Amino acid sequence: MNRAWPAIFPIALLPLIFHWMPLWRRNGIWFGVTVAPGYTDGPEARSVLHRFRIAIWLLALAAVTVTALGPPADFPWAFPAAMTLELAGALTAFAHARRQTLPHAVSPSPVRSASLTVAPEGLPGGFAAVLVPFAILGATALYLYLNWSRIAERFPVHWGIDGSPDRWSGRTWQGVYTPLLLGAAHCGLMLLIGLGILRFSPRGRVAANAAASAQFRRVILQFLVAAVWGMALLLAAVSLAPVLGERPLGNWPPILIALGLLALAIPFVWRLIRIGRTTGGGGDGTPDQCWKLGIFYFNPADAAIFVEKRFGIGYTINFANRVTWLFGGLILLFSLVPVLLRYL
Amino acid sequence: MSDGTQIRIDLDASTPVNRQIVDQIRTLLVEGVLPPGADLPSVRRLATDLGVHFATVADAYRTLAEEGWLEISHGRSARVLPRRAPAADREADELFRRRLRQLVAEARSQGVSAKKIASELDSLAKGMTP
Repeated sequence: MNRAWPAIFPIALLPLIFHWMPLWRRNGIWFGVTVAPGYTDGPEARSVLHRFRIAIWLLALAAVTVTALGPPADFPWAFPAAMTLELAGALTAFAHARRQTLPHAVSPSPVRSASLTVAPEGLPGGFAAVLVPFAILGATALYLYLNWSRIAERFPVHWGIDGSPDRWSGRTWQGVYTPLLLGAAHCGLMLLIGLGILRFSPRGRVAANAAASAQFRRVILQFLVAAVWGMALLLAAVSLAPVLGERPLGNWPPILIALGLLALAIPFVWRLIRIGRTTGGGGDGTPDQCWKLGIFYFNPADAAIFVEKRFGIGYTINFANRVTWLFGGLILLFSLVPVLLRYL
Repeated sequence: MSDGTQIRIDLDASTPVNRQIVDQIRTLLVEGVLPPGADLPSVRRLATDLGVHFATVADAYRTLAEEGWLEISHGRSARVLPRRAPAADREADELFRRRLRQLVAEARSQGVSAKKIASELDSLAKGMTP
């Protein structure tokens, strides 16, 4: 069996996502450009979309060819090269589609609205939703501590696509607790992003779309909290490998577990797409000229740190805000935890 | 999300944004929609919601605080103060007459009748208790 085939899976998944991504948008936005209502159903818009999709699938074909050259052991550069080709190519194709759309841009509404009510806002589920994942990780750590003598001298910490262990660790505190520390760092990072969205994203600038914006924000936060719970449960299960044996998640192939986790995201993504469809015209309250390449938001006159993406689903950051860099620094710090753990 | 405390700004209008914010919040204060003791969003929250710079909202809040409408303190939301209307001096009377004259002229030029203007003005003035 060519051991390159597992690598082909993410490479084949990316073009599928890119194929549909242009349609996951607010009404009145096309390839990151504010357009007149009805333009997106016209022949020009459809032609831009068609050309974008052709480019995406040609890139995918090239990427799969590169990956299929041979097993990762012989061609370690093949997978990163294929992924880079797909991502950079998709960005270029998007930038090209945006350039073709720009002549049809209309001015977004200059009218903004805001409520003066001070409604208390919190993460979905409140404190319990935030504390439970850390409690799960903490309880797992305590269990491992109390059962230290039962931990094998050598145990698996990573599993291949067929479910058999391919990376091992020893009975040291780093080896035993690293998955839990990683889990805590990732959960902290995601909650930090959730709190950032809660406090530093607009609640709805265009009056006609305020309800949809509020709903969108809520679903994103629910998704983040659900992801934190999923992450905590998964890494707690992995951490128990030294005690429970080589396969802490049973005989399920990891690919099925990964697909199962991805499937959990589908209801959220579906709801977000549907919310985007309910928005009216008038734009999203951000000026077109502040979207660099249609993807990077840079607006020094905007106090927001997080704004809704124009391409893809979710939030992106305002690169012109100084607080963004401070916030970004914190996120980077959390992301470095896995690297730091290796050197401890 | 259309409640009675919504404000709207027009970035393309000739009136500066901070002025638009002051005018609209003051109207809500005079009308009693924002009663004494009510909290207003923090400078950061309102600036984020409107998509403007913090300084624009901070300036608007400062103006309202100087007029005696708000109490602002660092790191907290602004709070509406109970305010007794000062006796209007000659300067205030003159400013009011000048602005009203421009507004009435604009309304008349657009065909609004004198009777309608008078009745609207009467109803607005009686409905607002500063």
